[in-house]
Amino acid sequence: MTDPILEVDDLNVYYGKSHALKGVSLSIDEGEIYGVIGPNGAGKTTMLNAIAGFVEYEGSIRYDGADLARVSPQQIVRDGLIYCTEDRDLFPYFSVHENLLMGAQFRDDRDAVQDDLAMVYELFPRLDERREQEAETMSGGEQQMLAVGRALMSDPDVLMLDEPTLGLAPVIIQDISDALERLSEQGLTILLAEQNSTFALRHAERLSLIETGEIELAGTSAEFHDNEYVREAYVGVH
Amino acid sequence: MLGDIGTLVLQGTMISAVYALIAIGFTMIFGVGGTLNLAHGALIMGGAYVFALLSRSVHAAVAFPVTIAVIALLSWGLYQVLVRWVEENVVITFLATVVVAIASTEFVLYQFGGSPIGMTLISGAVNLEPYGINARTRYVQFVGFVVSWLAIGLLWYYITHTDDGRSVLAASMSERGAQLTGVDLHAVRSKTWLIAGALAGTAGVILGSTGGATPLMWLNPLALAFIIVVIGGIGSIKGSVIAAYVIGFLEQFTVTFVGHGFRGILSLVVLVVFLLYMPQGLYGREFAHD
Repeated sequence: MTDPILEVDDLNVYYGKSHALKGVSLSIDEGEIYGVIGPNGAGKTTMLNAIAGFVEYEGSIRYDGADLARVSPQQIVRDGLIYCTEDRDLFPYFSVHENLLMGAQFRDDRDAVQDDLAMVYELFPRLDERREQEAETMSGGEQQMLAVGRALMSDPDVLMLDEPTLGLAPVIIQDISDALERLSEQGLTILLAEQNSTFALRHAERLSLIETGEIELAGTSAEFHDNEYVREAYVGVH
Repeated sequence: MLGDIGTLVLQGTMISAVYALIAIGFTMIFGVGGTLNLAHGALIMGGAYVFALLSRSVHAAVAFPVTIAVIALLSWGLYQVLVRWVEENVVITFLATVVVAIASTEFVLYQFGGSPIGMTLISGAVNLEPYGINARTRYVQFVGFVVSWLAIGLLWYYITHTDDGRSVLAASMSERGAQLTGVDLHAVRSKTWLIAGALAGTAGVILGSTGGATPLMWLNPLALAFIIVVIGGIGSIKGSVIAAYVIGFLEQFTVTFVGHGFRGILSLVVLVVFLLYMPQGLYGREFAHD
């Protein structure tokens, strides 16, 4: 049996007069990969920002039983809900290694942190080869790996990924893809927001389609595959 | 001539370390919070006066650390009581810290008058004439040099070798990145003000012990901090140390070979050159606000 680890209920976000999210609800079970697809500007990032505590919202977001409205963004991170943004927000003049250490800066168990470092370097050998390189000087794909690696250093229970494949070469996407599969096998819960519907459909067990701030469709991967509208509007292009 | 150069190198080496202390505090607050803290000079002056008062009743070795702690807390308090509520607005923050600087000056003027108050961190001087150094170098200058480098070294270790300190540097590179990794931005900013205050207090005691405490003693160090920070690259600690040495040596050079009245001119010329041709400074890359 699985419990929802993250529950979003009737989420509304306003930017001034514009209504960016209109009553979005979804629930994510422990251990699954949940995909959120939709066009650019549909509200995927806004939803993730609300969950991470970066924007004001109405409605409720519950993580591991707690109402996140009452938890500060840094406590949300400490509780294992880690957000990997579309901009990645790496520390540009820190080395790969320092960026990874920052991911674990709030953790006290040094041995576990060392184990996680070894795990990240093993997961992304490209990072291992570039330990001392400054994040700023790396390619987009390497930066994406570093962003995921830094998130993993925070020992996540739930990992939120925003557009992890955006602008990346197919060979790099494959590397990210393999990494996600391995992490998922190890029991990590992943919330994946993607414009790249093919990528999301390949990994997610369940998905939602967001358009103009509303969930238009929700269901299993198989249901999405068979859906005429999704196939024509989203999958065909890729 | 040779003796002049020896004097220049010695004096430059020592005073530059104090300038570095001042500039580092100034640049850290700007790098992390985006605040131009014009009250930074007032904290230096505060350090001199607090030490002058304390050292009348207790030994200098006790008064020195107590002064540093007092000024660190004053700086922290300034952030908590005033700056944190207005820091989102750059202009208001700037003006608020100017008001604090002027109010402190008026307060000191009212309480202690305008004439310099003498104070001694450590008395005595060493005669370096036999070694070809013209000026009598006072012990306080040596102590100032050693203490300054000790403080810089400790700070460097803190920000490069501890998770806590690395978070401070990280927050100056990317605030969002820091939030994503669970850094408490408010705590980091508070810490920067505490550290900058401790450095300013230290500098105040050293400057006060070499030139006495006066209500306007903060003006020149603050101006120098500005110049140093621009040359070193805003937000960069390494740049501040290097630029402090450039400016310190330039100043001593002018004093020795041109005349005391021209003390600040060359630094201003260098500032203008940097603003025109290298506005990001020597190590401006560490300043990367999103």
